[in-house]
Amino acid sequence: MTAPRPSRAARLHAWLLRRVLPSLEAADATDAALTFDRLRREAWRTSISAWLRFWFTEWRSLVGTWRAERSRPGADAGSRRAGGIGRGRAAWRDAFAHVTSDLRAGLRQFIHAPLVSAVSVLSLAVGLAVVVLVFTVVQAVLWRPLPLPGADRLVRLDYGDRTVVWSYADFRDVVARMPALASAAAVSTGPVAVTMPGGTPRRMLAEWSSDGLFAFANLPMTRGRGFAPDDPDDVVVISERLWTREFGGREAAIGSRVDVQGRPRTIVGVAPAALTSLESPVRPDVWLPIGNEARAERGMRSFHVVGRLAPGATLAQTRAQAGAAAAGLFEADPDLHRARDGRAIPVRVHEEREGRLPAADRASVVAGVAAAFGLAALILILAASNVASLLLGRASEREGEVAVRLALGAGRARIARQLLTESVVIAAAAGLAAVLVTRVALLVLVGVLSGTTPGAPALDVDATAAVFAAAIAFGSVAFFGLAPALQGARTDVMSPLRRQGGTVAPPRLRLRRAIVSAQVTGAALLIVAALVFLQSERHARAIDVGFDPDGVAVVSVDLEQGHYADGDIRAFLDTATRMLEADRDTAAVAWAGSVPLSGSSSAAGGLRVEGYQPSPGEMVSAGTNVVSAGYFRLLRIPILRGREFTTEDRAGAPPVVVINDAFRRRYWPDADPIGRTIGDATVVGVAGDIRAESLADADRPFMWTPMGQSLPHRLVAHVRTDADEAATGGRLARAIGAIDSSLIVDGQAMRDVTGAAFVAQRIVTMVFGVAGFAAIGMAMMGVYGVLAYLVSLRTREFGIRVALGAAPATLLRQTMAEGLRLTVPGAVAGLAAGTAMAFAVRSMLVGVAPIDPVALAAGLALIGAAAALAALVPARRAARTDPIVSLRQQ
Amino acid sequence: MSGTVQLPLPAWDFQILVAVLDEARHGYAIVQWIRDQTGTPDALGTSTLYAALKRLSRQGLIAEAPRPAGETSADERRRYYRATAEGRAVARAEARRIHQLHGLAEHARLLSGPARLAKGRS
Repeated sequence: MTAPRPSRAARLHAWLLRRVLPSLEAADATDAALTFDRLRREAWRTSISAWLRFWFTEWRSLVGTWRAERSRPGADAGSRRAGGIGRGRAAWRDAFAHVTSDLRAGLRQFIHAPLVSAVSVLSLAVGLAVVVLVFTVVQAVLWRPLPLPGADRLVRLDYGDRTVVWSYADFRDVVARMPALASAAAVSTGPVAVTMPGGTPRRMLAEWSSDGLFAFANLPMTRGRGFAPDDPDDVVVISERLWTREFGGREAAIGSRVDVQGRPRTIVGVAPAALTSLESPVRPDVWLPIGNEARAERGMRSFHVVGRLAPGATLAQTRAQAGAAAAGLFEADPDLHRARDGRAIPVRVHEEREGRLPAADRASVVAGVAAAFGLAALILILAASNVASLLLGRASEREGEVAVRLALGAGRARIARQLLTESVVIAAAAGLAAVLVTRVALLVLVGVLSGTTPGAPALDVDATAAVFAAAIAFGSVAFFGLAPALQGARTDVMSPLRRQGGTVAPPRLRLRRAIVSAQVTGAALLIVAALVFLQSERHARAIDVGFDPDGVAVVSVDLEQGHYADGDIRAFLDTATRMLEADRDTAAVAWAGSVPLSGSSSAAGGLRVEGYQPSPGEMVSAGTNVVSAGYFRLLRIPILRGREFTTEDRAGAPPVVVINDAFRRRYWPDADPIGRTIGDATVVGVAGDIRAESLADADRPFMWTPMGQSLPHRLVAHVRTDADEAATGGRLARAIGAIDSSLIVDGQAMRDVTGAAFVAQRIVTMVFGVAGFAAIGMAMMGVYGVLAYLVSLRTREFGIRVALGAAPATLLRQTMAEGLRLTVPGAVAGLAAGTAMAFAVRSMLVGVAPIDPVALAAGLALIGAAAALAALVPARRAARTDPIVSLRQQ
Repeated sequence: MSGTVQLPLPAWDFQILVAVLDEARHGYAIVQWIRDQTGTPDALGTSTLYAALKRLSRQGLIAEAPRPAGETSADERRRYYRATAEGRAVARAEARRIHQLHGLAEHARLLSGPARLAKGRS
């Protein structure tokens, strides 16, 4: 029987426990680690507060045990020695006492200025959390090796330039000709409807895999077995998560029947918990063998292939064999395996991690990752600079205190250490808060991702990332804490005491000004970026998408090909249409294969367009959808020429197609398209342009085929209604679900589905906006701090000037001007940098030039207003200087 | 191995002893059982538990027990404990002592509700 190894936290706890309780044997410690993990997981599942309480209890318990053991008179002789307290004990005690008292002093300072401390800690925590999150996601998608033994010997096989192009039969043939591969697996993931015994269907993530997958993975099965070559195709392997959740981890699960896509299957095994999908970093819920149909069909190219190098085999050998195998496929069936240049489609072999992205996408992904890291780093730098600024401010305030303590004979090292300890207290608090923020954010992220697709994303906070972030936290804060600490230690006793009457700005102010400038720059950059994206979103919402989603409810149904034959789908369509049309709220019904702008559009390539000669290497392609009669009328897509589909366009009738105007402009700019052919279908109509894949495609060729002549496996009913669309959609979905209880049916307002196009923009705008406003807040605090300090230094000077007849308004103006001098250079630099960044991501923008005058003006106004506000309080204080009071102070 | 056991037992030892009185349990099950019986969440930490288990074994009040026949799915690395005859005797003695204390508390009306206290004063 195999079981998971205890977590890192549990092992650390067990290690500490053995130091505290030396009599504990190794087996006891393992047992303790298991108990610890069970309790931890249970608390995590219960609630955040239970989880926090768990850690608190465990900490108290460990410390309590340590105290009890230490004071126990009959303690085993070994424990003292093991504790490392021997000859140098007194010295250690002494040092420990110092550190403790420093820590206490640090905590006192922390509590003394709660607002300042809370702001530093929180901003730093958010900065750290963003870095850890970005790191975690990038790590999971790009960097982390697959969680399989010997992952460094794994390779990905691509057929041509793209990753998803394998048919099962091609995979079999190629792998059989490549002895350099010890084993290989082909997988393809997708959503399925799973019904547990006595339950309702739920959408889950399935991975169809070749029978060798589990042997290839080389991980022991949690229970039962993997697939065997002679398995009937009604078997299923379930995930450990599903096994625990649905079967309570009972042995009886093996051999039980579950229903997948309306078809009963027998559970033969529980997959190892560590196994993620080979396709992307998600954890499938079920694994299914590849059906007989898909095994034979060479045209069905939907598989990813990962192989393991045989001992001693090199990548070069593998590539040579792959070349020969590709040539073999071409010889056997040239039509199916011919590339666009007429030669055989090549088989490419990449190291596993390198091959995760198709070469074509790599540059844009790397740019995206760089941008995400840049943003995360910027937020962290701003947060750290904020802490630095606060610490420097505090150090200036405490200069007098430090001088007095030095004068009284305190050691300089001791003072430096104390100042440093204070920064470490902030860093530690920020680190703890960051762990919490990251946990919550990850929970939200996983929730959002699981809401859109089934299966759990395999995102775990990476220990490396956590250590990395902790190092940054301590490093940055210690660095920024060190400057004041060093200056504190260097302080000569007399000058700060003397300066009480002086007017000279101390050198430290230069550093603070630089930091404030940097903060203003960062704030301006983020604000401009946020405003540009906001503008873009405003434009995007105003765009005419070419169809009218208002007043339309959509009801989508997944039908599995294997379960429903074509005739059955037709029968189902008729029943469902009758039900929908009979409903009291329905004005019109039409069907389609997908919803435009919903994120799941399809396209056809390699089209043969009559009379159009493609240039070499050009791919003649268009977006496609399969629609029923009445679709165009229902969505109010205008028919510019010819006709739309009717019920007469059915199987057996001549194949027809409707194109959009962009298609006509592109391929038949000068001719009447009606009556011309695309492949073997005749164009019968030209409709208005629609944006189907993204808001940016204004000129994309698109074509519709009639549902009477080809059936999609996903059906979406569009229902025009005067009632509330979302409620109607939900009600109709339940009604259609009643036709076949094994189906998953979703009903929504069409507006909500097409809104998916705005989600990415909305998220980007929000991230920049929130970060930008946080940065403005920090910059304001910085400006305020520096000015307030300057004014306090110059109180005497102001007093004299007022006494000599200077107008308070002049002092006010001068201080405000000082504030502007502090802000303007940073703001200009930030606006420039923000514009440069908008330029870099201009492909995401809709209807806005990267240099957007409105955004720039608004950004400048916002920063200016914030700076003025921050300067106002110290400026008023300067203007109100009472000469008598200020002169008497000295 | 066992020496004299002093009553009262240290904190948690009594509860742990009672948890393994009639049934062999492993660490996690002990925590769960105590939590279910007393309704106090999370008060018993892992360190406290294993220190107590070690102490009770040393005193000969509990001993490691074979895995119960019914539990097939549990991890084989888990250790099960069960009270010894001496452990049962000590538990009984401790229970008697607590019972006497309880009688004393009743006598002093320590456990009466605030209403009765107020009445007593008036």
